[in-house]
Amino acid sequence: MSAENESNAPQQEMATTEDAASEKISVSTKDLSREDRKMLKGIFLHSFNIFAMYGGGAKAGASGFLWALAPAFERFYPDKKRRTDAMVRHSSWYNITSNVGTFCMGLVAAMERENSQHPDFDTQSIDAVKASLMGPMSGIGDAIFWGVLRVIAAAVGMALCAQTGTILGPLVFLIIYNVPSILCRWCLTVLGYRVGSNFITKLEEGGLMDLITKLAGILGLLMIGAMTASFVKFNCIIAIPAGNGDPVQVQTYLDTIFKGLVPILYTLGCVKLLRKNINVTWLIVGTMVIGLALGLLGIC
Amino acid sequence: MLQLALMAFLAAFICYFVQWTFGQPMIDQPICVGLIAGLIFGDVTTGIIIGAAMEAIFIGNVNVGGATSAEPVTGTVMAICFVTHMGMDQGAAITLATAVAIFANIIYSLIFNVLMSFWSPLIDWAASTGETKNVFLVHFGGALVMNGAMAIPTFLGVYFGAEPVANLVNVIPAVVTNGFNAAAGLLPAVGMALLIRMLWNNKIAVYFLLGFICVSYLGMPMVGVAALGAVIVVVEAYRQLDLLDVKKKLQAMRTGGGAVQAETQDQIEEEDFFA
Repeated sequence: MSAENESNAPQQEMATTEDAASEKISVSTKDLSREDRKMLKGIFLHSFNIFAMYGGGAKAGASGFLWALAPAFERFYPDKKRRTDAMVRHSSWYNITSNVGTFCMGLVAAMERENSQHPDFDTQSIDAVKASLMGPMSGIGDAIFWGVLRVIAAAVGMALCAQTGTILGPLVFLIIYNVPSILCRWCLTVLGYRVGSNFITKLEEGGLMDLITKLAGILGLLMIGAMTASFVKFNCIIAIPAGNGDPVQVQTYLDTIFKGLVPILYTLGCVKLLRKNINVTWLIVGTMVIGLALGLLGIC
Repeated sequence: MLQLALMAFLAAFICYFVQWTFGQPMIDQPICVGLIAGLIFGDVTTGIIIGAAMEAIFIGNVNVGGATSAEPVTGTVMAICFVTHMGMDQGAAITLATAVAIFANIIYSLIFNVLMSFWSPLIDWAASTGETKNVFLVHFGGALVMNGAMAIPTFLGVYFGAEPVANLVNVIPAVVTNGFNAAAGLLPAVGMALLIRMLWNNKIAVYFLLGFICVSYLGMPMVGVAALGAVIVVVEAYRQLDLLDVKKKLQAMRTGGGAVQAETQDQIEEEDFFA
């Protein structure tokens, strides 16, 4: 029991400081050798090109992964035959969210180092680790980077430029998204190289993966709510003529019930339909038809 | 017309190529496409306004492993071209761009899954030579082919679409324009719905309402909402970590803790019995 507590301690610390720095699990390269640092920098830089050519069914992502790991292949396998073996092994389907996939690359580099030093190393374990990482890492990476960080960046960016068209909008969007993205890319390269392959399993068992997903969800939903209020627009132009005095605007009534009633109901209606597995394309086409009809009927 | 079409091709190609080749910096999000197409067509302000409007619609369009529901770059570039050079109304342009995005997605997935399949043997060849410079050639050569192919629909759309659009612009009646504007106003709801579905969890759904109220009633700016979100996340993180701690201790007391304290097998069984 005490042993279990000890092994959990660094994880908790990591989660509270959120920069993945602790005694055991570190993203610092200070105590690594010069060659290690050079190789990790190479993998980090190559990892940007990972999906430059992402296509073709069975081999999707394969050439990107080969290119990303090229510094490791060059370093650990000076012998051409063994290098070829390693490269053929890795020319298979690969797909992890680009910003967090470097963890897998660092890890694979560490395992290839083991393989180059121990001839009896089981190379299948490398494939197994690679394959087993794709699901959980993509899941959490998509949720955090596509679902939350991109949404926050877009919300702030759009709010800046939706009316005025100032160049600040896209620039702020790019900065908010890319600074954490690049930092994460580098830290995970080092982390992957330094920790064992059971790291992700430990995180999952400790309940931290669920916690991160939940917190990301809270932030995401909050921002989506704010964006729904700002960007989904509905304005009824019907005015009911009153006997004497100004005509009554229907929109004013709607706003009295709940400000933004139609946008929020329409959005939640779309969610409901999506959850019933209605295709997005139909929702988009349907919304266009409804919008046109509202215009033709003189409601909007 | 050819010149406009080439400009459109260039805008789309830059967005695709930079996005996929340089670590997905999100330059192919409509808000950035607006900036790039605006620069190329010489009207940055209009470009960014249309880009921002398209962003709201397509923000839920998450590209996971090439599986998307719509492909907004082509539509956004075309919309910006038609508004800046053909005098098209913005609401109409945005609705048109949305329709184009759905159609372009079909071409996009054809390129991804069919055209690029012909590239796979080259990857195998590069791996079998054991030379990383061959991997470089195959990888980046493929990038040029793939991203070039993806920008072709934009070229064709502008080349063949510009004249009919220019003729149409003058004959659209006001009610139809109103309808396009209404559609453009409601379309972001679909994008938001896609995002909500991705993150939905009944226990935290109420935060969606909080975000909505912050803007609709309190008129908070987005940065303010994001800061509020950060506070909520930190508070919640500490609470949940404490909760995890308590859970672990409880579990330890139930299982492992018992074994440490209980000295004999009888005592362990006794504890199990009472548990």
